[in-house]
Amino acid sequence: MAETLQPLPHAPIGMVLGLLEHLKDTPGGKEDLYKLGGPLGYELDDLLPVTEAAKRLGLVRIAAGDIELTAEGRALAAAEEPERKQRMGRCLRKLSLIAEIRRAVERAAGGRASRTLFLERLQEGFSEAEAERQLSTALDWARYGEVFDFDPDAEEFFLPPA
Amino acid sequence: MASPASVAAPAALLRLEGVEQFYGQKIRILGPIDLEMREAEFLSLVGPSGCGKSTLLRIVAGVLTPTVGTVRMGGRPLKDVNTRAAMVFQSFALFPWLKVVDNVAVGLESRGLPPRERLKKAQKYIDLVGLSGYERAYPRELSRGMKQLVGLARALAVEPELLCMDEPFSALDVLTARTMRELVLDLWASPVVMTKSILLVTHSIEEAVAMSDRVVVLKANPGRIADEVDLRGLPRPRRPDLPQVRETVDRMYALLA
Repeated sequence: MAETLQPLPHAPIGMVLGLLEHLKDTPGGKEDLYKLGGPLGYELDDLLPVTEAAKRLGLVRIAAGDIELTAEGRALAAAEEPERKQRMGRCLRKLSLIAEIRRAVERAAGGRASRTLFLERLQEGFSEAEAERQLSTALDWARYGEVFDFDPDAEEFFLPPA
Repeated sequence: MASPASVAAPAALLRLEGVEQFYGQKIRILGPIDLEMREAEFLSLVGPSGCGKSTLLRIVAGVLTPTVGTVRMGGRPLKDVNTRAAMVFQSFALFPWLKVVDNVAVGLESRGLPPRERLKKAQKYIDLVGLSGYERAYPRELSRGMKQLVGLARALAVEPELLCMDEPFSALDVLTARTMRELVLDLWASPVVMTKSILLVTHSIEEAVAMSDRVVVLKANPGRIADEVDLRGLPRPRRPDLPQVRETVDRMYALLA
């Protein structure tokens, strides 16, 4: 798994949503990537994981130094809960790590999959600390999109109730 | 978004009459303050640090009794903790050993709701703030923004008449704060949320202008009201780059200077 797995950029999902809302309110829906930090009070470096996350989720397009919302990004930014969550859930399932965990949980007898298993598999390609962070980020995003949940007492992933 | 406060002549929800707070015997840190808040009003208190805006909020919440003066809630003097108000704190103030759903339900227990009702009500507000999916997470697993959503859901779940917020967005990054401000305004306008009166303490003039029906500007040493600005004429949503919004922000900066 680790060989084919693209690492997730570490951005809280709330910041990704904030970026979409900012772009939604930007005249023309397009912003110079290098100017993005200014009005938001960020250094570009701090924003890169956020823009990268939005890009990987298919919510923004980055080309020729500009960042703009995709059709899905526009729809998500304009949606209210719970539609927003449902849309994000669909985008999240296209990411390999999140999709793998979801599949494992769906297939597991009892609907639960051990976190340790994924941690070990991630450590084939990442340091232990990075493997931990990958799982934390995946969980933060997956919980928002209700793709899977985590039981911290049993250290197991499981499907959120429908 | 139509402001719920635009209905004709709403009654006073909250009234502070000659409220003063002393530190020790002689040092007055706040007041005298006379202030009235209407039903369904979004009121912000802005001012520099040391102007007593958080102290004022604690007096309204009934966790601090003013040295002098009276606080009235719906006409009746406040004697104890204000059970008709709930608070959102800058520092989130969550119980680390409780899962999200239990942190949200915590205020419902003291209001005498049976367990099944507590869970139902907690779930309603978890869904409304967009936290569903995180019910079984512990606070340590959450980003700061998500933690504050728990704080907001917990305050709203008791369906208070008055929601007090003490710098609720200032510990958050700018993008998260932006999402949360929009959420609070959406909830305020939403017919399924019972709470319609909001008292926000902030040091950000931009935030106060973006959100409020009325802004009360406080001065320090001792904390007292310097001015107030009625913003009901300013159309919503108030994007920061709109000329009218920018003019209002500039005018408020001039008041504080």
